[in-house]
Amino acid sequence: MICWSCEKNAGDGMLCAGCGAVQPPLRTADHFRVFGLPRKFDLDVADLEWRYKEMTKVLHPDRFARADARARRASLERSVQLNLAWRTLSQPVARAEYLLSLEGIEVGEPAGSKRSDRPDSRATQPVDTALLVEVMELREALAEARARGDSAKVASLVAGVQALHNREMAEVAAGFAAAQPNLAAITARLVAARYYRRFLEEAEPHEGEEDAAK
Amino acid sequence: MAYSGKVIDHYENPRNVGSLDKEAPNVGTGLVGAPACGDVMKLQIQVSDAGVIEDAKFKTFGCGSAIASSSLATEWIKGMTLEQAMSVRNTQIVQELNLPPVKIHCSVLAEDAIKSAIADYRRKQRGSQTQPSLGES
Repeated sequence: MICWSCEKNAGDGMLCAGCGAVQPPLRTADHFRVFGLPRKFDLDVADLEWRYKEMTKVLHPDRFARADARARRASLERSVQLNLAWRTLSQPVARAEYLLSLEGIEVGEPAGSKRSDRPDSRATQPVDTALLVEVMELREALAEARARGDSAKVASLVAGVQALHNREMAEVAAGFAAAQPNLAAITARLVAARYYRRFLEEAEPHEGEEDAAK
Repeated sequence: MAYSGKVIDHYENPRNVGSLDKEAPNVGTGLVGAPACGDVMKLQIQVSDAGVIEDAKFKTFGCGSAIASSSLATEWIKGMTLEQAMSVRNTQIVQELNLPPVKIHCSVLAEDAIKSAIADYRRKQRGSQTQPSLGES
């Protein structure tokens, strides 16, 4: 890329390799490349955070308060790109879904469009049905425990589902670590994790609910 | 999220919440989920010997629109034949409840739940064709 300021080759960093002027973001850069990291699931979040903080300092608006309009704009666009990349990669779930989206897989979409009017459609999704049965039973158990005001039962259900969620995410990590990742299997794990996460969100005590349950 | 009056009405006073005996030969159970949001919906039908849906129940764990969609679906299909119930379309639910585009998948879920319940009932009937139906009407 040619630097807008010195009109020489800027390299592909945030700042021009020659004159140090901030460069607009590369449109083609994926979230990993923003941090100069390889595209893989297994990453050191502490290292990622260090990179994020260092880059944030470089892009801090105070540094561009009196800068050229093009530099201000470029730094702002870089910040937006950096923040989105950080939010996506720092969370394992978002990172996994992002990696799949780079492969053209949107988690939840293919299974969501599956129709049950074909007689065999459920038979071909045995895992899915078993998962739905499990999730429905868990949700019913949660609703019943809440109706009884049984907070110990709610807590044990939450702990159980949290363990299930952790198990799925451990399988996701293992799946990506394989020499030939099975993307369909990883997607199924992420879908299961979503159902468990939805349960956990629902189980979080809301304001006033403690009283309402009594 | 601004819900329409009809959605709020079904959400606050859901019709036909509950369960039917899923082991009964004249009961069909449909269980569907939305992987995109993690909602789950169970819809059950009890079918008379004449092939008419005489009772319908649902349990939905999800947003207000998903609850309203399944509540409306059970209300509609009661008294319908299986063929009539098969022809219920999610677009009708969208129209009746005035669902915004982001909530259309809730109506799809309800349509899928009806079809899945009917498929389950028919599978059971095929499996026990030689036995007399236990359905009361």
